[in-house]
Amino acid sequence: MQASASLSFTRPNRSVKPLIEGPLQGILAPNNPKRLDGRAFENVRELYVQTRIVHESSGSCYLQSANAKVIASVDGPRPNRYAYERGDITCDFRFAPFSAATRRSTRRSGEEREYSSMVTQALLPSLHLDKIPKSSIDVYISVIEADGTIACVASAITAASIALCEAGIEMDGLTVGCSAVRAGGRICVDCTGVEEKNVEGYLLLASMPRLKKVCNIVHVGPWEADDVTHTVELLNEGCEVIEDFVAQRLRERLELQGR
Amino acid sequence: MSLEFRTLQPAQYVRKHIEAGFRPDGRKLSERRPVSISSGHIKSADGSAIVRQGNTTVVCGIKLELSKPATEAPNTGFIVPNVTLPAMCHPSVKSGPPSADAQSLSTFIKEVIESSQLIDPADLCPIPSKAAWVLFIDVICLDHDGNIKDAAVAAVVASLRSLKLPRVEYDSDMEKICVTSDFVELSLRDLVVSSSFAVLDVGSVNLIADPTWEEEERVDSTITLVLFESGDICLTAHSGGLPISQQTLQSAMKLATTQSKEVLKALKLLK
Repeated sequence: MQASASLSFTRPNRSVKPLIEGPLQGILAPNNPKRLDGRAFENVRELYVQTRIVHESSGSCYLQSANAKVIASVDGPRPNRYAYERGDITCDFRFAPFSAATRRSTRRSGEEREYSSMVTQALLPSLHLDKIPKSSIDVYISVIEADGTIACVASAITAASIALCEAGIEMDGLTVGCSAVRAGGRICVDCTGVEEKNVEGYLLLASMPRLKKVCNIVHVGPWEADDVTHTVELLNEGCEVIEDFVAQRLRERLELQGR
Repeated sequence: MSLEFRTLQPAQYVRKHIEAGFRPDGRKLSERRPVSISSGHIKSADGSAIVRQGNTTVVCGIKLELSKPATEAPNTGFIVPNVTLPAMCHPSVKSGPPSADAQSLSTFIKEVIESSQLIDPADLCPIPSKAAWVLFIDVICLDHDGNIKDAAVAAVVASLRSLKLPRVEYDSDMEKICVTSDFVELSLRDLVVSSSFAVLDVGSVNLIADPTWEEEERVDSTITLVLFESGDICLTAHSGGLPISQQTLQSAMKLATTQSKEVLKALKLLK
């Protein structure tokens, strides 16, 4: 009955990701006319949006962008006596341990804290927090599968905004996130994990396309000024495409509910 | 029954239903919620599964890493199970370090894997003394509506079934470990299904199969039975404050045997 040797359930001191021998995956090369998935360089990935994922939350959203899967859940507004004049919003952005090629720790990392604050900053302009004093809103974002880290943060912004809309929280408009990287001198919108290797920086843009307002820009990397302005234009267009799709979905859902 | 009654006196709300022989969501006492299992959809994970049981949603992902086997156990690999209950799964769950609930669920999964001997330790040690697999099994509850144990066990078994291990070669001249892109399925010795029951004493002791969150919070005790496909018992867990008679345990076993057939069917459909 007993196995001759039994499994160990304690973590070994050191373990590494297996490097599988095989052909190198395609990385964005400067002279490639097309991307691996056949998209044009300015196109965003196909989206799938589903709301009402977490039954007890005020609002929730599941967003899938090709392979990347993000879930956002909103809890609130909840009473909070420490938020005197304005309501308070906190985002908790987490990667699932199995979401990327290398396993992530279950402990909250500095990277996750940084992305949490990026998402909060992106959402703030659309909200009227002074209309909900003494309350706090919690936004929980869980990335189940990441396919492009910065693209995940952009999807998280979109998913969080949809969840806030579901929760009935008053906002000026839907906030949508879109990102781009530069590799080999070429701007590439909405990159996958494979395309993100060896890039020269990224630009993340959050905007309210319906109001034609930009909520937040995060740019990392030494780029020419022209590149930055060109990328912002491309990303604004990308945000419009995403917002059209998302707004259509939400409208259909509301119609189904008979509102 | 009115919403006010449900909100203001939740314990009484549940009791009145059980006394009348059915549950707040309309199920009979011995009825499980329909289970749906899908596996292999998370490409970043080496093995994955998503289980939905009513509203309860649980996702499991397995990541493989390589390590040197322990010197005292040169022929075996490692399994590191972990269950996370993030703050999003229910308003009552707060963010922060793993709660007692989450830690006890992690231990429960570890005990199920250990008692069931699902995995042959030699399978996880392709090159004895040199290379061993470490299976990081991470279960995340996305939506908590009671009975995470059953959903978690189903998710772990389903993701283990979807797991493929790359073949590992050892070059003794160069003393180099090569991981090839030749994948081999992990073979499981058996399948296990978990059946949990809440126990409520309303004059007579009642077994409530597959409790929701509302029910779990307001009952006296819970029993969990983990059964093999053959009907043999892998693990029994009883928590809570109510002592259970032999009769109750026997009824629980009978119910568990019948109910696990549906989950077994769902698990087998995955392959």
